Amino acid sequence: MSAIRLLDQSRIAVSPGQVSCDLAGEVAILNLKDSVYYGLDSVGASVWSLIQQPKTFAEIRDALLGIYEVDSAQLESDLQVLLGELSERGLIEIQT
Amino acid sequence: MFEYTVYGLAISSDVTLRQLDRLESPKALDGYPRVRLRLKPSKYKRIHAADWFQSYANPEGRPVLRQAKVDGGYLLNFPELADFFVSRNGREVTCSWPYAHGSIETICHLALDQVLPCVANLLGLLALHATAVVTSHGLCGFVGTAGTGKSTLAASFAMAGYPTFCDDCLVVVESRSGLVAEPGYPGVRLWEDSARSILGDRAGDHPAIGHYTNKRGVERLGESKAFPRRPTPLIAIYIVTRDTSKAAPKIDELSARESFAQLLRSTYRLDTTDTAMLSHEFQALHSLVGRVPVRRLEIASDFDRLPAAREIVLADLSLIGN
Repeated sequence: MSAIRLLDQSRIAVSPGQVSCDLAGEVAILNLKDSVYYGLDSVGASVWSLIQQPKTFAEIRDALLGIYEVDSAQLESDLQVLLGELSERGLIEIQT
Repeated sequence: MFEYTVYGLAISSDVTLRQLDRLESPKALDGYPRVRLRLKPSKYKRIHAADWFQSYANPEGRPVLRQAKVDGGYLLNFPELADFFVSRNGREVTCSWPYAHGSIETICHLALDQVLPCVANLLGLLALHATAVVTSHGLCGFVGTAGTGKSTLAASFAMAGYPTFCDDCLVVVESRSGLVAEPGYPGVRLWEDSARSILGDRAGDHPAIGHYTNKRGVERLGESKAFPRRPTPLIAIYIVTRDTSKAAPKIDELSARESFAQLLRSTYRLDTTDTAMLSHEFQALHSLVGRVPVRRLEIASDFDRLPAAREIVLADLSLIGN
């Protein structure tokens, strides 16, 4: 799990060093820096779609709460983990 | 000079590649990237640097192919067999074989079945480790790890009148009419037990593809006249897996993500550090998965089950074709 703690105003965008594609609602990503491939499930794909344009953590969380019926604390925790992992792998950039 | 097309490449070779039909008109090469192939014995044995960026080993752990970047291109070394130099732009392939074991038959096999698929990748073509057969419903490919029986299945199709389109290198390209596959040649490489199961006593008529293996090159089985010499629409891909039980063969749908992941593991790549190539391949695979159905085909190890495997594939293709 990532040590990064994202704040509501943390700004998140996909890294330029990757390519991705939609696979029937899921996503495949190729990190061009180390040639490693990743897959995201449908919820991860929603996050990935949202951050194609830079967004704050709060904007992402609120957008997801409009898409999924889920406990907001659970969503926030999962989002912290996912974005932390994407950041560790160099797939997104975060401005705090 | 001998001229051929294979895997979407126009080959000008100074030696005969007996598996391929020689082109009578140079016009047939138009539109294909041209590759000059030079195969010659040498008295000089290259002293290899150890900076291999990629290495493949056999099940015993012995390297069978090593790849390095060298001045002006890439070196593909088949230990104790041959060195192939591929120019950076992929247009020149030169082989020298100073090793006592190398025969022209072995070298031609390595060029055709191992090196040219990598060259196709270098030239921007999507080259899959896949075997393909031409059926009455259209062309279908079989992808799978070594030993799953792709070539045996293709040979079984060939004996039933459905020609082999390629064995272990399926090149898929975008054309004006959609996604098409570029022909390989109508031959398969079979282990001895597979060859015996398909050909019976005639298995011995087909020589080993090289001194280093028992695999036999079996060409123009069955109705080879129907071998298509032109790009052919690809209508389905089957990921072949082996079922150790004697159960009947079965076909399952795969998710787009699983299809993508399976095909990603099955591409020829000359240079895995080439991000432009990886990016291009990524987009090509995405396009392929979006347009060609990919299924899992589970078949038993038992050769007696091959007819049933053929039947289930043909039945599935008839649904896709319609």
